Amino acid sequence: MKNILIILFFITVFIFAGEPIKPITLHLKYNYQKAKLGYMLFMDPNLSSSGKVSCATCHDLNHGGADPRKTAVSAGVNGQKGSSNAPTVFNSYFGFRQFWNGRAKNLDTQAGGPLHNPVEMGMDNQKIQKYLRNNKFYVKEFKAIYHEKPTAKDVANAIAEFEKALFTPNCKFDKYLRGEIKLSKEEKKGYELFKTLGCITCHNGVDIGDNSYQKMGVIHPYKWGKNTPDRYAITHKKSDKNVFKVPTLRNILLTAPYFHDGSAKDIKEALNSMAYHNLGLKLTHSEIKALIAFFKTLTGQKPAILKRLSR
Amino acid sequence: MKNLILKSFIVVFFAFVGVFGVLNQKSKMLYEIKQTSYFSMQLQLINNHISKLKNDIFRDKFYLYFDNDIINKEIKKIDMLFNIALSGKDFKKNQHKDIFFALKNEKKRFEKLKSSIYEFLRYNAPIKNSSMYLSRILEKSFDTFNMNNKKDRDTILLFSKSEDSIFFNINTSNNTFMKNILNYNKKLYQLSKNIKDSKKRELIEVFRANLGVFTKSFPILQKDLNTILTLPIENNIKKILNRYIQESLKEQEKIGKISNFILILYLLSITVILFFIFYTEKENLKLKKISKKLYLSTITDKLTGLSNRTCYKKDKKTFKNPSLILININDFKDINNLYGTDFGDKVLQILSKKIDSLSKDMKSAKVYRVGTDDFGILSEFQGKNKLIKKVLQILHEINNTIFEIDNHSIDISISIGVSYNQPKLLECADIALKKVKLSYTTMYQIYKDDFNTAKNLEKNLEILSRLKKALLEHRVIPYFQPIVNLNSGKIVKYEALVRLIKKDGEVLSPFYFLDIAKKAKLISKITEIILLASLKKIREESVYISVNIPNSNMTDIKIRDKIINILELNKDITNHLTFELLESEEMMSYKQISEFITLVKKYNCKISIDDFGSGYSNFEELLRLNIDTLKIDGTLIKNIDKDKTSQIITKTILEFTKKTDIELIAEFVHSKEVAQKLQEIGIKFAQGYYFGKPAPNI
Repeated sequence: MKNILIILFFITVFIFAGEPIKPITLHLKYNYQKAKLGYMLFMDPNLSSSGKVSCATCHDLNHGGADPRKTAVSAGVNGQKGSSNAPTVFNSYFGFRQFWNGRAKNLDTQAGGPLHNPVEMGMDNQKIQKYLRNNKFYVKEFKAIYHEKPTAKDVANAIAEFEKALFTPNCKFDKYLRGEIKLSKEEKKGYELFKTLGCITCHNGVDIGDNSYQKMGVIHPYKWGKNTPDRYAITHKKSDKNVFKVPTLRNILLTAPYFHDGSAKDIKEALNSMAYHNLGLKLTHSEIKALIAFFKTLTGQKPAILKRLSR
Repeated sequence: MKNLILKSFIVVFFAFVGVFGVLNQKSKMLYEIKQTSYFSMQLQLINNHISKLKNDIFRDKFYLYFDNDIINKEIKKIDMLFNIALSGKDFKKNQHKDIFFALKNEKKRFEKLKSSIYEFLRYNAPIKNSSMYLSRILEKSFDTFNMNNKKDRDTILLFSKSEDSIFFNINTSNNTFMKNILNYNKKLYQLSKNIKDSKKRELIEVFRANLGVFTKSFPILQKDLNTILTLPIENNIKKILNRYIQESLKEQEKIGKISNFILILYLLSITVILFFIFYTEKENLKLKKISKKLYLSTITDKLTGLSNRTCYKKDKKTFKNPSLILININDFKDINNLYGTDFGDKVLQILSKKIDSLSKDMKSAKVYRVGTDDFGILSEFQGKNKLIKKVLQILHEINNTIFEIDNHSIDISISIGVSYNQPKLLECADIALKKVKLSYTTMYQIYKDDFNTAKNLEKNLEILSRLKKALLEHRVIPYFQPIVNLNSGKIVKYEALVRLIKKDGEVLSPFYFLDIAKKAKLISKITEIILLASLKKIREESVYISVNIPNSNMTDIKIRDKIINILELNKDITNHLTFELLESEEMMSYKQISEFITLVKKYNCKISIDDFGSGYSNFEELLRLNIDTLKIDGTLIKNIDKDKTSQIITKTILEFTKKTDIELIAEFVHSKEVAQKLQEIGIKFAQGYYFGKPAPNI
């Protein structure tokens, strides 16, 4: 069965080599033992200075891996407001960079960010180590996997491994791409619109985005502040103002609010905002309806590891 | 030995070093080659992927829909390849340092390229969309604007011109059309100021925004594309690769040279080893020669060149049925004394040659010098006759030849002892030779088993020990045989005959042990015992007893004195005692015997001569000895009833004794006929089995 699937996969890849969106692979290798530890750490609120904030607080595994709270930007320890709306942790493995401004090269590097950010989890390496080394369970697990006492570096590594396992395959659109099913008229219309309107120019690839930096507000400028977590914050080039890593559209209907500032509280608002700022046009109702239908097909299966972990 | 081990150790050590060195260099060489090809492959891979990357970027520019993942994947791959190449083992060893830095530079260049690529992607997307939208807006403008309105027409025209300009020039490197676009934008701005329709204004605004995107993005895009496409990474990497190959070749050459050198060293060590082997072999051979010489000298007699006794002992074992002719030079000592030892040596040399030549026709014969003047011819036994023939030949050749040595003519005589079928060949031949020496006439003797051989010696020793034991345990006692008066038949005397009583009661006659006793000088003891026992018997039974006394007891003064003492102690009965002397060739010293007789006569002992008539009897001497009795030898008596000669001799003796007043006793009377004949002849006394056997009691 596995072999047939592989062959099928390759065939469909070939057929749909033309489509700029690729389906998520069904099999991604990861170290389960490490990922399990990563999950523990991910869910552990003791890894924050208040003891109440874990990674899962802003990246809720039941809310598409994004912030379940209605607030625009995510809040950290002691209710401090952060500078950005927490992006989803699902499928984040496929991103060419991490954070809105791509300052982290990979998941390992990203994991340290929130841990050390005073407005997010507010920890430092010593505190992290102290907490973990005083915990017999963690000491045993770290010893078994990393053959040493718990370190902040290994914490990030374990969490990264867990996040790698948080991929959501088999959304309806993926199945369509593999030639397994057909889309409905509406969904198809939505996808066509997605292409002809030019959305696909930035939102393409396996993660439907997540693979380049693009400007928010190409046609009509978007608001900008000194806290904007854009490329300018790193490069200080004027042309990089409001330039962000393109976010993913997978599971998009699960991860409201939208944009780096969480300014769009639902998908309709997001679509209208994008159309206005980046394309310079107003979407019709039917267009929006079709696009939303298309977006619905982008919701994939919950990550298999979560089922395995709950056993 | 230690020296040899040390030397061989050194040589083997160097050989091993050589082999190890060669192998090491070989493995180094292989490693170098492997590294070179591996590194080349990596660099080529980098180039391939950079080409592909450029290709992808091109495609991204031209295709409306393009998956950016492709470019990101390429970048990741190239990063990885750079890292692998830079972490190569070669660089760890600090070789190819400048290659390392050059490659690192290219990596840096690639990093810069990355930023160009991201920038390209960042500006490519809006341009794609804007180009699309500009056409769309133009299309839409036909609905929104009125063709009849001049202003509207101008607007559309401007839209069109901008579109055209972009469309025609977008793929050129000509950036002058940018100026036109800016111009059109300005003009559109002017136009829109005077337009009141919000929809129219909106459309122009959007169009202008898109144009603005274009003007802003396009130069940057062009610049980035140019940078990306003209980046000399591939060429540089090719250059690096060439330099690397050059350097590697040099390395390999060096290794090759070193390994050649080591190989030569190794071959040299092999030659050393070979030389060493040959040298030791030569030494070995020398040693073997010397040892052989040495060995030969131990088994050779220097003077004559013949093999010596040691060699004889060794050689004898190889013969199936050996026979030995032992040749001895008679009175060789005299030759040495008379002519000098140098002359004696020459005699030995000449003789050895002679004997050697005489032995040539014998089967498997070899001549040895087994003693100072003893030569032995060892050969396979071919029969007694052949052997004797050869012995006679030798004797003739040597004894009847006069040898000329140093102007002296010398007559050499030899004696020969022969033995065969004997385990102790030499000893037996020697014994035979001794027997020859004892005789005046025999010149050779073949050994026979009844010569006093070891076997006999063993037997004799056994008898001796038995005798000694018997003497101690008083089991040597006299048996008495009666001597009778033939006429009256009465016993007149007894002869004491020594007997040995074995522990088991068996009675042994003196034939068994007397010879041994003589040799072991126990005769006097026996005589003493018999004498004392006889005297005891005389005292007890008051009889006349005759006791045998050997000549040695009479001549030996100590023993004679002992006997006289005994007589002295028993002088009251010594007149009953008779001493029987044996007539034989040993009776040399008549003087001493006469003395003995005179002494014993003082004690009124009688004297008798035993075995008279068997040997060369000297009548005159006998008469002067003052004897009382004569015992006629048994050989004369045994067949006296039949043999006329015996009768005549006996009669003659009788006549003789009648005239001299000597009593005659006949011995070995074994039958009635003999007794009768004796009586007929006139013999008065007789002794024999017919009359009584020897018994312990009277």
